[in-house]
Amino acid sequence: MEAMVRKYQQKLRKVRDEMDRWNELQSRLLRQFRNASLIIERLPVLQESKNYHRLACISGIREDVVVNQMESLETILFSMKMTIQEFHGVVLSLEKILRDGRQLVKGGSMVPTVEQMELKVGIKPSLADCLERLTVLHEMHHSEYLLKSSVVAVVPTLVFKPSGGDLGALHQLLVDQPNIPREEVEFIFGVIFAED
Amino acid sequence: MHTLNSTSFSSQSFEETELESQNSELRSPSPIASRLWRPSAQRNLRNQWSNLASYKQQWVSASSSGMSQATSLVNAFLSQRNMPLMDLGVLSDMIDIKKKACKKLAQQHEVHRSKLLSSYNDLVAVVTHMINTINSMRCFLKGPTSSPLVQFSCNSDDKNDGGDGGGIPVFMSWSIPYLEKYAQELVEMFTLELSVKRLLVVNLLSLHSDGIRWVDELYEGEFDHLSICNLYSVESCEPIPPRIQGWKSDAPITVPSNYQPDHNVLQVYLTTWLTEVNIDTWRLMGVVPPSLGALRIFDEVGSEFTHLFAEVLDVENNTPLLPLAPSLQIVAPLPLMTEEHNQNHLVSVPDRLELGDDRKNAVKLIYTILRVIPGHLKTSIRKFNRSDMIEQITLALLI
Repeated sequence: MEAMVRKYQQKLRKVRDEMDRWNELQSRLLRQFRNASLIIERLPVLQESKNYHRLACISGIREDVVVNQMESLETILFSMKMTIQEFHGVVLSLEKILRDGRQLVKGGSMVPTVEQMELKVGIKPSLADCLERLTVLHEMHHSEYLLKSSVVAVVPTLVFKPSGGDLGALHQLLVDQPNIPREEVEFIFGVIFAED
Repeated sequence: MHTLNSTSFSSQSFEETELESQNSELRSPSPIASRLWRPSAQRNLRNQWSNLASYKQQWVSASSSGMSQATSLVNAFLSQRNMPLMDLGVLSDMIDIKKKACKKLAQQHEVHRSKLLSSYNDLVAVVTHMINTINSMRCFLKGPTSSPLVQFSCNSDDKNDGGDGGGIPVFMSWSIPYLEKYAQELVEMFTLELSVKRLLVVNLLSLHSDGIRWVDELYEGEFDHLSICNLYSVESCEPIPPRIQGWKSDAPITVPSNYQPDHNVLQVYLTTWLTEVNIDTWRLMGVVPPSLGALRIFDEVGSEFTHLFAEVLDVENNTPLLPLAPSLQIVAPLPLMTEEHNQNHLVSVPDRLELGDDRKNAVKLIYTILRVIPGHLKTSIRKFNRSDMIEQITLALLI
C-alpha cells in the first residue's frame, strides 16, 4: 500500500508541475486581456473625429489609427485563443494523470479492498484521499478552463458596445479564478505531502 | 574594396585614351567588367542592407523611448492641470501642498519635454542615416578603368557610370535599381512616420506653453536634417505637412492658440504615436498572415541574397557582414560564410586515449564515450557559454 501511495504522490507532483504551467498561462492571459481591454476601451475615443484635434489636418489619420488598433486587437484575441488552448492542454494532462491514478487501483494486479483504500500509515495520506484529491484538482481546473473559455469568447462581442464595467468584471473573474480556491489547493497538497 | 591584381601598372596616357571605351564598357559591361563589378556590388549591398536593418532597430528603440516620455509628459500635464480640483484628504492641511506639488510636476514636465525632444532628434538621425544608406547602394568604378588596379567606391567619379553595372543582376535576378526600389519603399515608411511624429512632438511640447509652432525649428539644425529627408520645403520655408501613405497631402497646418486638449485628445495623440500608421509592420517585420499575401521586405531581399551564396544571411542582424572601407575596395573572392555568421563551431574534446591506443577497440571506445567525453564536453559548453559569443550553444553534435 505504501508503494502505491508513493506512486500517487508522484502523480500529484506532476499535477503540481502542471499547475505551475497553468500559473504561467494565467499571467499571460491576464496580460493579453488587459491589452485587449485597453484597446476596446479606447476605440470609441479613436472613432470620434473631434478627438483628433490638431491631427485632423492629416487625411485618413482617424481611419488608419482605428484600423491599426483593430488589427492589434485581432492579434491579441487570437493570442488569447491560443492561450486558452494551452489551458486545455493542461486540463488534458491532469485528466490523463487522474485516469492513470484510477487505473492504479482498478486495473492493477492487486486491487485494494475498501479498508486498504481507507488505510492510513502514519501521516501519509490514504489511497482514497489521494484519488479524491486528484479528482478534485482535475475538476477545479476543468471548470476554470470552461469559465475562461467563456470569458474569452465574450470579449469580441464587447468591441461594438464597450463597457468599462463589463471589462472590469470579466478581468476580476479571470484574476480570481473562482473554481480554484487557493486555500483548498494548499490544503490538498498539505495533506498529500504532509511528511515533506 | 576590391582589387584585382595585375601584373603591372599602366601609364596615365593609356588610361586617358582608353577612358571612353571603358565607360561604355561599364554601361554595357563585358563579362570581365561584370565579373569584377559584381563581387564588389554584392558586398556593398549586403553591408548597406545590414545597416538598414540596424537603423530599423534604432528607430524602434527611439520610438519606444519617445512613447514613454510622451506618456510621462501627458501624465505630468494632466496631474498639474487637475491639481486645484484634486482632493488630497488629510494632506490638504499641509501648507502650500498643492503649490509645491504643482512646482514639482512642472519640473518633471520640463524633464520629459527635453527627453521627448531628444527621442525625436534620434528618430530624425535614424531616417537621415537611412537615406544616406540608400544613396550608397550603387557601386561605381573608381579611377581610370584602364588601370590594372580596378577599384570601386560608393561615390561616382564619372557621370557616365550609373553605378548599377549596366543593370545586370547583382545576385540572382535583381539589379541595383530593383533593390533600391525596396529600400526606397522601406525608408519612405519611416520618413512619412517621422513627419507625423513631428506634428505630435510639436503638439506635446506646446502643452503648457504656447511658444512652439509647426514652422519652428525644434532643435538646432533640424531643418537641415529634414531637408535631407525631403521633409522641408525650401519654397515655403517650413516643414512639409505630414501625410499618410495612400492619402493626399493636406493643407498647411493651422494651430489654434491657447489650446488645452482634453484627456481624450491626449489619448488619441499617444495612440497615434504608438500605432505608427505609416509603418506597415506586416510588410516590414511582423508575422505575415497568409490572407494578407504581403511579403516582408527583409525576407524578400534576404532570399535574393541567399540564393546565390547558399548561406543563411540574416539581414536583420545588426553587425555588418563585411567591413567596407569608404573609398577603396579590393577585389577578393567573397567568403561564403563569415565567422560572425557561421553558427557552427568545431571544438575538439579529448578522449584520454593514448596515441598508441587502438581506437577500434570497442571496450576502450565505449568507456571513453561514457566516462571521459561527457565531462570534457560539459566543461567545453560551460566555457563556450561564458565566452563573449552572441549565440549560446543550442545543439551539440558529437562526431
